[in-house]
Amino acid sequence: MAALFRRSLSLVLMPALFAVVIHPASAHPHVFVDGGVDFVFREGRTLEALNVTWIYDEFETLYLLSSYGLSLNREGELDEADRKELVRLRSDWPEDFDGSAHLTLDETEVELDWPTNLDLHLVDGRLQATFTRRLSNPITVDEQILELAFYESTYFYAFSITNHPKVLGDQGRCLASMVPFDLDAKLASLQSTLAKLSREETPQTENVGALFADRIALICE
Amino acid sequence: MRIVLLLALVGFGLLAGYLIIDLGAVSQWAAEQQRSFQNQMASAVRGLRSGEPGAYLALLLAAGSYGIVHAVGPGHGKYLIGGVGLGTSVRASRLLSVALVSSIAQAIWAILLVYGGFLLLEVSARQMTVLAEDILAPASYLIIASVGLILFWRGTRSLFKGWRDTGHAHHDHCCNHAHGPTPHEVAKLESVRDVATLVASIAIRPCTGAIFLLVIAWQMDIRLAGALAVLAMGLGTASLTSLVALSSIAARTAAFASAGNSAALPVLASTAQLTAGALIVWFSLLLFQLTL
Repeated sequence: MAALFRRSLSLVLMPALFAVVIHPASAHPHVFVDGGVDFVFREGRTLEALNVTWIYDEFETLYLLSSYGLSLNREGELDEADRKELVRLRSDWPEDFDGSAHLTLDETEVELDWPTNLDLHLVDGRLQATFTRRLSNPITVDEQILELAFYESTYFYAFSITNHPKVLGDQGRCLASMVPFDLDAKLASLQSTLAKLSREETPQTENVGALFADRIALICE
Repeated sequence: MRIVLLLALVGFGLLAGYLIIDLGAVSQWAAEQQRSFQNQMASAVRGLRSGEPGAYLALLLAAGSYGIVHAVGPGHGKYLIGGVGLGTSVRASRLLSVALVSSIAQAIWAILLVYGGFLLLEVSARQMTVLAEDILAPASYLIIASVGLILFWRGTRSLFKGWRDTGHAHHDHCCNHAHGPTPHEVAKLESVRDVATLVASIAIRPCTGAIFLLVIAWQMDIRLAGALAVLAMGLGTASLTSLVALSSIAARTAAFASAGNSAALPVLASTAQLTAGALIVWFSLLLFQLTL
């Protein structure tokens, strides 16, 4: 009976094991975007705008161009006319655009205007987008802590800060420093869970992208 | 027997819980590899556009490697093939050809779909992706679920037939002899219809990576290279599904060899088949409801 038990167990367990081990899965996030944010000041410590940079990966770049019916020229570059057309098409931002730059002042969200000044270039086979987000109400930074988080809330897009943040304009003595996202054990397990979501699924956790965000801390003396 | 099944199910539950945690790491690794091979494909595509020597080969190699790592992580064919290998007494050569043919058919279907769509229907790239994700993916899961149902049904039927045959050997008149084949015959998956259903259920859903590459190749006017690259991708996927096919059959053979010639063998065979069938149904319906 014991032998029969073992055999039955192995026969029942093995298909189960297989079904689990080869469980179909495709990972969330799906599109990876590098880039960063620069801070534009005027008159000392008044923060006026953010200059945001997105750099798509090579494959996403080609897919993006193709989906707009655009192609590379014989040098493997983008013709100027096509580039301008792409800027025009991309300037029509989607309704659910969440900007990737999330600014907080002492943990209160700072309102940003709709993106302007979009420009696009092909750099080493990667599409680079730059645009400006003006602060709806420019703020004078004193003792407070300004923090910028670089993410898209559903985490379909994974943003990483790869460009060192710059402080531009008449900036007094403000300093921007990077706070890279730190993967702790709890987040690692969430990341594993997300890795099993396919393209058409949205994570249950609200604003999940924020949990994996690279951040920039802005401190003025 | 019932206690055995119950214990097995509890064991499975615990094991599944444990495995699911580690699985994320595997699919994450696979996703990273896919990303890197996708970017290699992209740089080969740019190379092809500017007439760089070696770009053709680079594209095929990157696509083939993408196919392999794609099959490690996401994908729906492997668990069906693995389930069939474990649950039925299909011949190794047969299951291997199912693995190969379904991957190639999947690649050809992707090419027909994307190029045909552009050529005949003038659909946009976006519509193409939506078709694959919103219509073909759920369709594929439903067909896979029906394959699982067939396995489950056949397993259950032969299990009951086995019990009846041993329990009421002298009351044969109450059972219709044309009722069904013996448990040994049942699980062989010999008919053309069985094999065609298996292949179709896997092939109907092209992988998103293949669609993206074909959309790019069409737009960048390197259409033949794009089609060949997607075939290379299919061969890459086939190499991994073949591995799954072989190891599932090996595992089953080992398990049955240890059972020797005992009288319980037909019962075990039927149980394995209906379990595999039920699991296939469960997983594909799980995937199906996620696409809704």
